[in-house]
Amino acid sequence: MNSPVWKHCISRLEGELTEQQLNTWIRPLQAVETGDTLRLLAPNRFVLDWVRDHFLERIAEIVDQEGRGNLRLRLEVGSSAARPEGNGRAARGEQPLWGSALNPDYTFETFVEGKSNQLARAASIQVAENPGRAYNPLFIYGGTGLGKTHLMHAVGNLMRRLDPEARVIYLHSERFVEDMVKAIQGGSEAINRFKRFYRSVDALLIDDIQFFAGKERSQEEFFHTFNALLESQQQVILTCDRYPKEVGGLEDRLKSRFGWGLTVAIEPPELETRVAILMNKAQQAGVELPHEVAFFIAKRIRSNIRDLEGALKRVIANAHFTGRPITLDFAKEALRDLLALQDKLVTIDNIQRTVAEYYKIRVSDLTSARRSRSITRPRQVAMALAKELTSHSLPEIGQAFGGRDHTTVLHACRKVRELRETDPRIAEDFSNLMRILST
Amino acid sequence: MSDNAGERLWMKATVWPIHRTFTGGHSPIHRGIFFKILKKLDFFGLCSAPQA
Repeated sequence: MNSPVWKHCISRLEGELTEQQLNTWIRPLQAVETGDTLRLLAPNRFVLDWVRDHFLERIAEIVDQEGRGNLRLRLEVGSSAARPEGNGRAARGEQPLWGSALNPDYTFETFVEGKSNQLARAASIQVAENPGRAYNPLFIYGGTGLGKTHLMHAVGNLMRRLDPEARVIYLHSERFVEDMVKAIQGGSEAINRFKRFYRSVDALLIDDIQFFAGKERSQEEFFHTFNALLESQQQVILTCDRYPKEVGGLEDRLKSRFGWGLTVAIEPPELETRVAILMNKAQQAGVELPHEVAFFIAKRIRSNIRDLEGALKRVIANAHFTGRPITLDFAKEALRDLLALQDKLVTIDNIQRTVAEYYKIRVSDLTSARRSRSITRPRQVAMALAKELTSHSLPEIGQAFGGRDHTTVLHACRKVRELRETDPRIAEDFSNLMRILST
Repeated sequence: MSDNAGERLWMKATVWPIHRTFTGGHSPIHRGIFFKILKKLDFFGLCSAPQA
């Protein structure tokens, strides 16, 4: 089983280390060479950590000197001998009940990075490279269509690429519940099989866990599975559309465990990221998208990436069917009804209603002469939104807000711009409102 | 404790002899717990320190 490179490594190390060190740390390692990877299997995590901290650098040097610099070294806990039945990879021998259902198109290479998703992406890469060790569980939350599922698949795909034998299971929380129900129907043997299966994976990726809300029996089973996986350092990744503590109908013990590892948010992408996403998608579709068209679509569609992609697909399909080149006018024409619907939604009236509802005040407060801060801030935000989202002039906006002067509107716009940079709460309110209004 | 064949072998070759030496073989301390204590004390680090 041991590869020639590894044998050479041992003989070189024999001259450098004491017999005791060799017997304790180096000889227990089993080497398996597959393709361009040399996997070193350590008997336990303690040995793995020790070898990584003390000897790995030297081993890499020797491998390099051997002229096998292209060989990638990977340290793992395991044994190349037959594994007994039990937890983790040990149970790999058993027949899986279903496939891992990972979408091969969702990788880190196809994920467009921006300020809004930088942290989530970095954490995901860390997790994929050090499953079970870096951040466990990894909890990704954010609004719909912002790339949570993409990141999750990307982690799974990278883990599979690094270790083709890794048992990565991706599933929607509904599927977990469904399987749970089936297992309960099938009696105790089916329940045991269900438990064994979920506890034997290397990484469990569950999407949209907000659907667990209110399903107590599933939550209980998931809780035990979750603990078992975490205890044996198997990776768990979860996504949700809101912060774990905010999900209603979830047991407190689950919520607190979700916060145990790392919780990262994905924010709606900013303009530049949206443009990059569009360019990327167009390239994947083999279409040349002019920058001005990408900017136009990205400016008009801010809510989420699914809508953005939908709009792009529409432009591409139209161009394909009519045989015309994609220009700004063409894109405007292709997206006419979508934009008209959006314009209808974004009126000053609607902005006032939405802002009033968001800040829990009355619309009449916004148009009144009251100048208390609890009213003026929302009023200024509403004015700034009206300026940004509609094509009304400053005097028109001022008129709609209780006959105010155009300089008041101008001041409001400047004030909000300034506050967005200094006050994170205002920045968040503004982006939330922007998202609500442009959905 | 051992979830693979190598693990048990390693423990047998490395930890059990120390356990035997320290406890005389009839120990009230479980070998697994004993191993944890060794790790906590950085026993292996002290053993590997360069000899004077």
